[in-house]
Amino acid sequence: MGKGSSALKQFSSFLAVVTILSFILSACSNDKESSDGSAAPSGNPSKDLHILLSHSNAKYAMQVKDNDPYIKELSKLSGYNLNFEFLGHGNDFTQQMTVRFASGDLPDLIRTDSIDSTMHPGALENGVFADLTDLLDKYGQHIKASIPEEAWKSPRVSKDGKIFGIPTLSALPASRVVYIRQDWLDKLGMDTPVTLDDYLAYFEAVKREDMNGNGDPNDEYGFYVRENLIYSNLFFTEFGAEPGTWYYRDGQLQPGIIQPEIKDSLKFWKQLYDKGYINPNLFTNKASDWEAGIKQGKAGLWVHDVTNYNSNWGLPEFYVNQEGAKVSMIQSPEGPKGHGLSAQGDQIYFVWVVPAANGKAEEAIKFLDWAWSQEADDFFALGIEGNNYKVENGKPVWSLEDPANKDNDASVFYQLSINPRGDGRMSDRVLDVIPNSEAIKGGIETALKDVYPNDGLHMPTLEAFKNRPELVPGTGAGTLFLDMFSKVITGKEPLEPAFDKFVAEWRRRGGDEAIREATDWYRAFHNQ
Amino acid sequence: MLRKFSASDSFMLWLIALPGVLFFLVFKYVPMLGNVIAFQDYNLFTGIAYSPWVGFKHFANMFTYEEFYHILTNTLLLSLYSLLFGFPAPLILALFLNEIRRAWFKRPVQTLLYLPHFLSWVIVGSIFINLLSYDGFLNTLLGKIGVRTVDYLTQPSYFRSILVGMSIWKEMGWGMIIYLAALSGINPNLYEAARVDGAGRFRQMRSITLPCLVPTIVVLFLLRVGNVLDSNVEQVMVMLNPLVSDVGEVIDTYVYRVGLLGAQFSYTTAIAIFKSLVGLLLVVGLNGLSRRTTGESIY
Amino acid sequence: MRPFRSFSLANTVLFTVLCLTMIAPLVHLAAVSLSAPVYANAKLVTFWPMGFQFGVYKTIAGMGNIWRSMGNSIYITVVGTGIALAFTSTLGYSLSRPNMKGKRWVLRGIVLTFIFSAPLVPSYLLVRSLGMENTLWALMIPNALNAFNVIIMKTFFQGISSEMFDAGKIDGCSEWGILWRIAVPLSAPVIATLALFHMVGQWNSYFSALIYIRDRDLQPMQVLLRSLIVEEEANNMIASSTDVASLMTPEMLKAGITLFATLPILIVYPFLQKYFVKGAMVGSLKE
Repeated sequence: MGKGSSALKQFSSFLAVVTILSFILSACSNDKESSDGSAAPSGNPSKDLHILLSHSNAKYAMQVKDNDPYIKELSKLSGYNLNFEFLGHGNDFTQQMTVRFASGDLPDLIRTDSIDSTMHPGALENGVFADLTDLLDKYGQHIKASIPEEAWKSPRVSKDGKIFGIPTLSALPASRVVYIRQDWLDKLGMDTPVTLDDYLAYFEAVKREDMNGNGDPNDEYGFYVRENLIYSNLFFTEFGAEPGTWYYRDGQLQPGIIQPEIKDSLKFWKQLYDKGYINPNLFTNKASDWEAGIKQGKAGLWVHDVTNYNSNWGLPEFYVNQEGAKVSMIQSPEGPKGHGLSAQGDQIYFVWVVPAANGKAEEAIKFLDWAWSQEADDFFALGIEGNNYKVENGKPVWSLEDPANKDNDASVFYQLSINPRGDGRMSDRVLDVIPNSEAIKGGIETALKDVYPNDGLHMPTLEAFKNRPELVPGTGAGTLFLDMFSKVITGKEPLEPAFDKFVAEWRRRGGDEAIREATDWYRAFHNQ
Repeated sequence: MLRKFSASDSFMLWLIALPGVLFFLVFKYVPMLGNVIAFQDYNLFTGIAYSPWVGFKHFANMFTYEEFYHILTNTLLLSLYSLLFGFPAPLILALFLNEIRRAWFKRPVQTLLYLPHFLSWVIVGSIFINLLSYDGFLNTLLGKIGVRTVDYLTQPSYFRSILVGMSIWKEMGWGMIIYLAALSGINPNLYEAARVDGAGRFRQMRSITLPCLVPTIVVLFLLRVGNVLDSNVEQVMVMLNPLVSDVGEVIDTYVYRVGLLGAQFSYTTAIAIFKSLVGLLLVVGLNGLSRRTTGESIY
Repeated sequence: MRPFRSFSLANTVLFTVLCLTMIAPLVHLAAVSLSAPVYANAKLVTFWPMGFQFGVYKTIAGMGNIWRSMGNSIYITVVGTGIALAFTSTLGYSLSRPNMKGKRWVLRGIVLTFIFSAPLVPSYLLVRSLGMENTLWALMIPNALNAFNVIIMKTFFQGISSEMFDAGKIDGCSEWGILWRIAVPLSAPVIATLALFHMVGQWNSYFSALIYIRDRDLQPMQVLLRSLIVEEEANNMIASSTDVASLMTPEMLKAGITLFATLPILIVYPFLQKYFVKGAMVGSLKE
């Protein structure tokens, strides 16, 4: 026991020293508290703005250092001493925001998803947010001019005619398109598919031939589907009902999942599954496997955003072992009852709120108004002159390949992360200078043509769903609809009875209640 | 006699324990009082003091939720399986490792065995998905000897076995460490005496090693039972798909999905309290049973 | 002794196979992290890199405050573990001694904290009111003690033969003296085990830093690394609202980050290992 105990004695005395040391050092680390954030000291405290937002998984924002050149430049341009505090993303953001609101210690400008967001339930009723209606009239000309009338009506922004939040806009009104392997179409001598039959013909050809040339004719699928039908909502609007969309029919606001038209979609999808036109692992195909499959050449077509053309899909070198791989962005098929990929949305990316207690509402609005002015256009599109772009012959020269823009996705930082207008990555000024500009502009137009109406636009989360996530319309994980859908498609249950049983079950469990609640909301909202 | 306890000993021991006891009071009990929000409609901005009291409303909501008994059953079954198969795995591993005598082999083996503990469930999930999917490694292998392809991931009958198997693979090496610590505390003289009596290796394992491990086993088992209604959400979510949701949805996945629809502090706290009460009941019951049978108890 | 030899052989083979299954994923991750993005994203890499390159590790090393964050992580791991062991061993010792009056109530109280947990908001408000918000203390103190470790410690102390303690008493040791001169030295294996458990917990901790730390200079490494790994959205309900910037993380970055975060722990382990292997050897080596 002799040896062991002496070694342990050493170990424990080491720990003791460390513990004592740490108590002494604590005095030092406490000093840190005061020097928080990146703002340089300024002469005028009313020009200090502390902004709380999410890094949204943008690389540069996640790693931003003190004295960041872009924040400095923005401070200089706007005349405000800006301090950006980036919180996490998704669920992390929700939790961080909740404790921040619980602490009562709030900055001057906060990014949230709605003025009555569940990240801070009750904030609006308790007067936490400043009423911005009058301030906007006084100081917000540029803001008012830039944001569509429709967005101000959203309950995410205003309540009872009073405006409590400033909406920021998504990059595009609609961004979903069908990506198709153009080189495969060419090889098959086929035209761009338009009707459902065209699509089926393409799927059949893809199934029959060894399109990716790896010697196995059976590892290509016409339509490559991702789990929970994420980015896979084809062949629904074509038959007249999209699961997650609301329809005002027979005096009631009803979700797509219970419309009888869904039966036609189910029939079509079942055919796709039975004939091998879609990947049989569609219910377990995770995002990374889905992307890998496409890049291995397993997919004839898939659904995704125009915005990802340059980063994920558009270039031949993204695809492995496939000479001359080429994609096109096309419209969704024309079905017997229409078409469409993106539900009509409010276009709001997120919402700025201003805590009333800080007394900074006027300055915050003035700052945002400056951000929406033409003066700020260049910075939020091209970055810092001399660093990110040059001006030659009066025209800006900007390149995505320039390390100043490319490293750590720096361009995303000034176009999106610290851009108070929202997502500027697809603004006109940016579109003019990025590679494949024509293809992307075409894709944007295509996406716009695939917007379909949604009577549930602006509807908040229904009370009826709050304890019953399995009733939420759409194809989300854990929903009754997706359960039924998967069982019908794979042939575990017969279509008609399974669908009827699902509808009855959904209504009985609280769906009827939800429809009542939704209808009341619809009438109240549209009679305003 | 030495057995006499003096009052000053007790005082001294309390003094030694004081920092720890205070810690539990301040850092565990004070925030634990926050659980009263299960009986309120908690409002973040007015705080506990001014939030309205609603009695057992949230508990009633939970018990009247249609799927509740279904997910409770799923949770219990999954827990039971992992207790039955997952709990003994590290113990067996430790016993077998203990029989290896070459130190140059034993040490690296020990290190390698716990490696998977450091992989996230997402990574482990993708490994098992690649192994078990319809075109995965296992099916390719079995296909060569003529076995029909089965998509193991979408078969409800395999779901729990896959989950338990994954956990065993990932965590048994890590769980083994604590048993190794216990093994090293066994007095070598006991083995010496047994050998003199002519006991073989297996006999020694049965009559010395195992009995010496009983206190550790009992404590680990009782603590495990305390969390019987907890599942590993991350793991379950990775492996869950609509074709196995009948057996796969558990209380924790439900709480996760409710959370997505909004922060319902009071409701989710009520569910947590229910889970804890069930755990408490089991711990108290089994602890009493263990005290009577093995003489071991955790309090 | 004959049948025993074949058991020994089977045992060795069994452990070899087991170890291979456990090291394979790490070799795979290493290969992926060293591959060119195009092959990694198409998931074509198995155990050998394709289009060999070091880019991922350059990216990680060049990340914002990565070295400072690593310093923070080391600090909270070392100091946090020291604090935790000091608290755990003293409390565990007292509770293991038969002469502490009322210890059953203390134990019951501790077990209760194992079963019931505290909601997030009150925990946060407590840390805040103690002035620990935005200091590294918030990452070390609130989780210094947990019921599991205390009860394990107590169980091991109880396993030490009471004759040892009695002998200490005769020599005139106080309870404090017995703790340091007899109980702790005899419990090297369990102390090393709990140290390991706590260290790994501290090193990997992420959530408390998200909640309690605002200052970028005080972030531990895991916050930085984990934020780079975009997990696929579990549910498309939330995907639309907050998720415009996120794409899937390239596979090789994910792999590189996992390895980078795990490596330090793997290096430290062998140093702790000797404390429990040595003891275990005593029983089996003497043939």
